[in-house]
Amino acid sequence: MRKMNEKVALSGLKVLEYADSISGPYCARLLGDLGAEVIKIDRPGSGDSARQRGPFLGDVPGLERSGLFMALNTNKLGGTINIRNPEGLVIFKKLVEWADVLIQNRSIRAMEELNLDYDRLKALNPRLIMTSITPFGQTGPYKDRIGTDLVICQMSGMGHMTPDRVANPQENPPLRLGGNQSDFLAGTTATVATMFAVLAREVNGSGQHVDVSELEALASFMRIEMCAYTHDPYGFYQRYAKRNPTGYGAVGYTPCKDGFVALGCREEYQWRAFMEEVLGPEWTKDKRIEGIFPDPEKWDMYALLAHWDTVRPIVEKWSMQYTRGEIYRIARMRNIPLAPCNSIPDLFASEHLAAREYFVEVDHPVGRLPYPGAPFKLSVTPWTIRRPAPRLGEHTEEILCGILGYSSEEVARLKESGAI
Amino acid sequence: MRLPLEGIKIADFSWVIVGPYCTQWLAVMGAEVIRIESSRHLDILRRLPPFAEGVEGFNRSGLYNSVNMSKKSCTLNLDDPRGAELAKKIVEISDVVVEQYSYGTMERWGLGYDSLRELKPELILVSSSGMGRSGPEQDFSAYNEEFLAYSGLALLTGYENGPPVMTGSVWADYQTGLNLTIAILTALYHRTKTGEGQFIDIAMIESVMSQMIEPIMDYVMNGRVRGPMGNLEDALSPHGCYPCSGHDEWVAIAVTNDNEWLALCSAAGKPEWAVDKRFASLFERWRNRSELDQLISEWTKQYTNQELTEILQRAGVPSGPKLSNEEVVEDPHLNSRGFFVTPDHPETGKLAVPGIPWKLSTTPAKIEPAPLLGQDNEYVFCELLGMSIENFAELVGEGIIL
Repeated sequence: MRKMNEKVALSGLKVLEYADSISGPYCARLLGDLGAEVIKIDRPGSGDSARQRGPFLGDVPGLERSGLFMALNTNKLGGTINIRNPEGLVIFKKLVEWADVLIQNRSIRAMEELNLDYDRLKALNPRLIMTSITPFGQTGPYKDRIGTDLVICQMSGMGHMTPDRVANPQENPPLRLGGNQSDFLAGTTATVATMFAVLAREVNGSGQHVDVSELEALASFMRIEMCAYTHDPYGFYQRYAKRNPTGYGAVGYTPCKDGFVALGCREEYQWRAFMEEVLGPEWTKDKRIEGIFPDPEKWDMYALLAHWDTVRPIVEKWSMQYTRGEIYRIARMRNIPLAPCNSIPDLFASEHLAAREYFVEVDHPVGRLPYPGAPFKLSVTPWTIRRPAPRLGEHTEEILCGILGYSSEEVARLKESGAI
Repeated sequence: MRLPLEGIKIADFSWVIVGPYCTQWLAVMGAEVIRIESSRHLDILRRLPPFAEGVEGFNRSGLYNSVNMSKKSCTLNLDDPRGAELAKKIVEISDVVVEQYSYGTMERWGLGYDSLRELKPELILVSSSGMGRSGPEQDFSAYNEEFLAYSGLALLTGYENGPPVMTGSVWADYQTGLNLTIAILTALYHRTKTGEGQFIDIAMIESVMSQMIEPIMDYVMNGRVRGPMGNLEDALSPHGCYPCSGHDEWVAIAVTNDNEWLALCSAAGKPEWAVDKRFASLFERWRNRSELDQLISEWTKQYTNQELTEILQRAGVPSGPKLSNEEVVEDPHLNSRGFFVTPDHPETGKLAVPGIPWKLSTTPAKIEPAPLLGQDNEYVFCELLGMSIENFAELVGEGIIL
């Protein structure tokens, strides 16, 4: 962990998190890692549901053993406050008055039942920025639907294009990305929007409501696919199409001796260098690619796309002679876009990532472990992990006494009443 | 209400998707973003489909026009010292510089961070690359799928135990663009408080890895190396895409707890599932998931994916249809929220493009069409930099402004 006295960018920004699982906690964590002071409200009893999701240390479940929870909740103070208890609700409202930003990802209905909609909270704190993250956003016909990562992937158009082509669209289901990416993406998108609201508040003095829809966060990444439909009369993508128009040039994954490599030739110079490796310096006259290109001297992306099924086995035959490492060496030497498909242990073995100090070691009561590190490097105000994820209820007293000014007698009474 | 970035100028040397996707958000939130382009080395997006009406042309690319809204475009030949000098002048009047060239290019033009910082200490310089601006492999440049491969996400995506597959979107690019936006806004916030500028180094591989918490922590904690899991979610069942009555029609169903499971049984009119020992708990359902998936598929095949979504959502089961690009564009929910926007582009008209993935209640975005190549040359060089019309014409004639 870094030193406590390092300069952080968002110091003094106060964030209240009333969120569960991935999207909201990830958003609050990104702000915390940049220096914001974050208070997380954990549900009394079992806490954030991520505490009950794996991976667990040693595969043994436990509220303080979830790697997902630990990595999503660094730099936060955690308190267990029962918002459904009237006195708990009072505490929550005091925290809303304290906060600059409230991050929440509860359903619209749940927030309304508690009378915690934006208009009511704004009355308590006109400078409050309230960021609401839900699967479908705060308005529109699907606003009360329930969604998960898988559902969002399918409804955004991502599933339709993953894989980009299938042999049989009746047999091969559409997929999603690994590792619940759209849940994380909702958090990243919410962080961007929240930061805009923070800067707007610097200019205008008032807060606002930030409405983030997980569906839109991902649909916003489907620009080629959607513009194909709105721009091009032939832009309807079929899952069984020979090659969809998103395939630009020689792009895809190809097997090699010890796994797979990615190939991404999009420019003529890249294709030439690659073909010289695969077929030799006289590649334009090579029989194996005869008839594919009207003029092999000229880069013709469309001809390549049309004949990819002929070219692919030639590429595979070449790639199968080498290991990932050998192919990556060729790629770097000749400036060809080819890269190894790494697994997680490869990342920990990468000299490059080690030189950039990507992984950070974090001390947590269950042990010192490396976590994924900064998504970017700021030279003056670096991303830092200053404290591990809170244990359930770890900072309840600190929050009540230290921040809200309760006495220890009051805290004892609130414990009795079940508010905390 | 003023937009948050009014009065901020961005000198945008980036291209393709990462930088432009980021600076588009800065532009729609009020910044004046000036793209420095070249008609000799055209942004690859200007050369790639989809094109308006399917007709190729460098102002007609749907993708370019959907990641460059509300920006200005000028064109310079940076290989000529006079071009590089003009670029420096644009930097001098800017608050943020974004660049995304391959290793050493900015330095070759005399536009490296050290010289720019000397020029203007409060500058925020953003350098976006695949591998970052340090480390032994920093010279390696490639694209989305190579960085998905390097970061490990490619080997986590595909059918169970199958090879990596190409996915929709250009994930690594967009995702890095978003993180870049966070980085710039953070640096701007710090600058408003202290007046200090800084250098931002973003690597696509690290940006992608930062969202790969579950597989990384599983390896760190248990030494487990995860592979592609299809649509499976650890310990949850039913969880997947199930076939429906129509051609290539699928519904996603994601049951996350016992309540949702019981709701599914009753919505499907299958009380026998609810009492079946094989499916009595999360653990039993996970263990017997192939049999369960089989039963559910037989049920889902009788309905359309819209019918199933209706039935399941009413019962409180997370579910939704697989939608094609056409269906997403026509989706009533996205349209009721105004997700798609139709800026009036001078060459392609009002074609819909995806808009902004958030809604701010009091400072909504300013949406203008993406620029034609070099459309703002006169404004940038004459108005902003104070060049005379004669001098401007001369530089155009000599191919410096091109």
